[in-house]
Amino acid sequence: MSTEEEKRQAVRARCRERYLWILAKLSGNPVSVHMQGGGRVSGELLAVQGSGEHILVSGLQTPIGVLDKAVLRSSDIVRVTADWRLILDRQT
Amino acid sequence: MDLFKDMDHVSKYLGRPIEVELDTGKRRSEPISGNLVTVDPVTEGIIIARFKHISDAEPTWFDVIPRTAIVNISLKHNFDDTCREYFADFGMSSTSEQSSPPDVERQEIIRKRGEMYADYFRSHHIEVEELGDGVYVVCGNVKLLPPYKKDCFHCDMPLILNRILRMVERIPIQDDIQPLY
Repeated sequence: MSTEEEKRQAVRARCRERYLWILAKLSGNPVSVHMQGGGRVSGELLAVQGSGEHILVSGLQTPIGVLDKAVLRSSDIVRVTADWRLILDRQT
Repeated sequence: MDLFKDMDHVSKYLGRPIEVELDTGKRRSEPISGNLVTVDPVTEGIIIARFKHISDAEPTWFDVIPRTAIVNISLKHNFDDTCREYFADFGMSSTSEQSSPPDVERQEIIRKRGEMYADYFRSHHIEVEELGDGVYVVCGNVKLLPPYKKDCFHCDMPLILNRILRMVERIPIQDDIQPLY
């Protein structure tokens, strides 16, 4: 493997590590999910599929009620927002 | 800018303020600004950090944005409340980067804590197997990982996991080993 390729791999590994680290921090904490079409739901993030295709949420509050557990497709999601300060406060 | 095709340049944009145009399913895309925390090379999703007030040193929100929702990403040159000129310190020290030497005393406390739980389960005639790297398997189903706290017990069967956790709650706290919770 060339030096340039090694550098590229190192960057990719670091980025992936950061991504997984943050997702792990978000797990078990309340999140707000902005859906395609303008809807917004909230719940507790339980897990994110390794491929990123689905996320698992508990206590999903929707306009028509609360779902105990729900699987959301990433293709239906615009963004998942988490209150970082709340997460840090919970850990201290 | 297409971050996903050119990972060589990703490291240059990490921490920088960016504006992301999002596909919200409506006619017009909506922009969101923040500091780029990371780009996932596998899913091609990104995470950005947003600030609430210009005086805040720490971000208020982290946004995970899947690739499917991203229309365009551009570097921001005008800073506002939502982002900083550069932000990279969010409390993670990468294992791939040089870090301070491990805290030997803390490692020893963690090791003792693991042994304490293993001895407790064995004293209650519950099988405990040590796999290596400090990983214990309790009752053939429950994995206990370092640093051996409440959220370090993992099992696919909630019933068994709950029973083990209820047992663990009854373990007396020892002074020289940090408590479980």
